[in-house]
Amino acid sequence: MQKYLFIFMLCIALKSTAQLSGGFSGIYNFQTESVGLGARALFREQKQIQISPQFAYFLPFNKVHEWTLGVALQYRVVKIGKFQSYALGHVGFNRWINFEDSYMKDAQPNNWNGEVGVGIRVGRNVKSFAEWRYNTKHREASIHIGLLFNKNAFTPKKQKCAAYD
Amino acid sequence: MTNTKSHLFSGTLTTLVIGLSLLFSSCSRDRIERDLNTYESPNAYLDSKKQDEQIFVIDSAGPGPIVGNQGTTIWGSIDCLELPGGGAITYPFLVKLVELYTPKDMIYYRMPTVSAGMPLETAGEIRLRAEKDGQELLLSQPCAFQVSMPNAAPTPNYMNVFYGIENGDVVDWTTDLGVFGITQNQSPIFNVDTIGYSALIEKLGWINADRSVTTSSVQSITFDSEEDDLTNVMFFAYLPGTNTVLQSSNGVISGIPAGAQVKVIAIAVNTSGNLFHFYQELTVNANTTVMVVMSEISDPNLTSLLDSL
Repeated sequence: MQKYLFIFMLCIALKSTAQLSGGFSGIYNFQTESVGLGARALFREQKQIQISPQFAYFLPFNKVHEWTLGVALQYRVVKIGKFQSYALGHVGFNRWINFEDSYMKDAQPNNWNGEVGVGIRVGRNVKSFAEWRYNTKHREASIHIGLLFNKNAFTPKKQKCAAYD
Repeated sequence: MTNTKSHLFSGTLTTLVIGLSLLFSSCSRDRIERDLNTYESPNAYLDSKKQDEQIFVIDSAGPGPIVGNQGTTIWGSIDCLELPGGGAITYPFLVKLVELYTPKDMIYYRMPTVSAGMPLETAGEIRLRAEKDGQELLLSQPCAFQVSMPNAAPTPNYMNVFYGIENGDVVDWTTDLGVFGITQNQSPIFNVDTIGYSALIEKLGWINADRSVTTSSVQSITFDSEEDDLTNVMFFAYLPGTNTVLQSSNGVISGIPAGAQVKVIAIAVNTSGNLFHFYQELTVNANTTVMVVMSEISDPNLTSLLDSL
């Protein structure tokens, strides 16, 4: 089920590139005490329902070494000027690299994880965001803090030539 | 911000805070911490099963002897007892006796047979005390009480008189009366009589009919488990060849003679008060780690298991 949801959301996202941002984040998982890095895109950011493909990698020095490739569905709750808050659901394929080190009786290397959470985002061309997320499979909470850049954020604006006025 | 937006914002925020708090409270560290079964100390259970201390009220002179309910026989005189500091005593006074002749009773009482870390072969342990008006009495020197400890097949000139050195809950055994500041006047070796082993003891307290186990080296057993937190589990080893009882200290049983046949038993009580155990027989030729999986057991079944050691 989570796998099909993942593919469905990814297809919708890839069809709508008009409002596209990309960015990165730092991640901390409170329960596994692990630090990770994230990368993401954000589609339809001016819409009520937004889609964000994401990749998260928890580094090898952590107690849990893993990566997750997934898609988040974000529902905008409040938008005030440059500020947005949203609720999110995320499904992703998780590869738990050092699962054999875990004391968990049913630890598996390949997992489909679900997450729910909330986030806030501030900015226009360059946006900072923070999310609190809860992994429903492993019952772990994490925080993601990062930056998103509009796809045209660093493209110089075209100057109109006065001669053509 | 309009009033409607403000209400929506604060309502949403409140809902989220409550919801996230509930989620956070159910978080789990299962991926990095052992999800082990936990237990509590079995001391209360063992105390409920251990031999009672028998109390004899001595209110007048008589021929004696005092006989315990397992057959320990004691001959003594009021003239050999004194108050701490040396005062004479008068009738009545109390004689208190604990008898431990089986591995089960030694395990219940947590009274291993070890002298300075080395295993002892035992024919039984007793605790003999005398008391007057709440004060524990001493044997005056050079007096002694005669004690016969029941045994079906005693070996002449074999067992020695060991005295217990009490240090908190731990009792170590020694033949050296000098440790207690007492000069030895009697033979430290048990004779054989019609009851079993007989000796003149020169100090009240814990008495053990023992013999050091001859061994080229001693080994230890360490315990580990992938399912159980062994912190509060109590381990005992019984060596049937020498009737030796050993008890774990910090999760390790040491002082096992090389090559000994060992019956290991672990006892614990879970948080619901249910009894758990682990039992294994093995030959110990070197330091060994035993993997433990505790399983629930009823009191009658555990009693039966200890009876069968």
